[in-house]
Amino acid sequence: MDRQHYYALSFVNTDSKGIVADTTKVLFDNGFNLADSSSTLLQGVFSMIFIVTNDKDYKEQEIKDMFKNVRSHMEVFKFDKKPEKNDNGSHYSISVYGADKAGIVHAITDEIAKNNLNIIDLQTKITGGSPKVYIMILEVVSDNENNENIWQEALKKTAKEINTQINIKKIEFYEL
Amino acid sequence: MAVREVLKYPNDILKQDAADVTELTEEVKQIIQDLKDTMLDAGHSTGIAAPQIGQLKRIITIDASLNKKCKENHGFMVMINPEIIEHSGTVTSREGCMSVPDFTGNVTRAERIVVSYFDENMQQNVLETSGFEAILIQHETDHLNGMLFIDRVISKRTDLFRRKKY
Repeated sequence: MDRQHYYALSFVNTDSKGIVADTTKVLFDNGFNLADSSSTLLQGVFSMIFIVTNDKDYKEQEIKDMFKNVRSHMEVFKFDKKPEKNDNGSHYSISVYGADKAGIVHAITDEIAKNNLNIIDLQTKITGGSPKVYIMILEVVSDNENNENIWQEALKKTAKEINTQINIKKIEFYEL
Repeated sequence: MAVREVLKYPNDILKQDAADVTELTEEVKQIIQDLKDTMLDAGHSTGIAAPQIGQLKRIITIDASLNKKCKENHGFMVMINPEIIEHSGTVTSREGCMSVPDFTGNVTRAERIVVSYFDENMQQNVLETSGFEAILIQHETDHLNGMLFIDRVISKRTDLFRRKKY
């Protein structure tokens, strides 16, 4: 049977050298293919998310047991079918920044959800100085290019209400 | 008319330097025709470089007017031995390429360029252009130097994307 089974694996640990090599060795030794991954250092925590495939139908606990000697906190999620991605539409890059306070991410993402936009990437950072500045960068997809003025004005109004700056830029896609 | 196969990475030809064209031979004329036919056959392409059809010669064909959003352009052009002799400004856009079909990537290029080249009659010309047409010429000229857009993606996790559709 050549059906592929899809699993999401997440790992978090305080940063140290060799984590990626140790983790991917277990994946390689057990016949997993890396379909997609994202890993980054969040504060002092190295965080890895892998979407992996295997022709074997493992239980989640069986996969966890494979990593019992890898020094990370991990979680496994097994998909019952291939996870489909739909990011068709117009893409926009949005950056929001301002003096740090609670509620920036919620206020902006709530307005994005109300306007039926889909977030496909979101990163936040906070500067170390004083006063602290909060920075959020998102990529959103709209399936209706004709209403961009409406949602952009709504987002700008929300950003102003929470005293943050916002920039919205359409991502130009060129087929060359 | 001859529509050629568009080579895809990891074909090694795409990573090699192309040779200067020194005279307008029948072979060169045929490559130009094949580039034009292959580019138009692809339907969504606005430019192509000779190495993409397996010919290591410094020839590109472009037509920025095929991008409906590109208002100012010089239409279909053949550029032999193109060389960017001046550039200014920067602009970032998300590029896709027929030779790297599964991905798109954010690439920063010059906003305005001056390019010297020989046309299909081997007459030397100089063109100043900006915006999409300038990006297009830089992308295709890169192919002549064995460079793909993925060589220009800055190593940041948000810069390389699995293609949404083709």
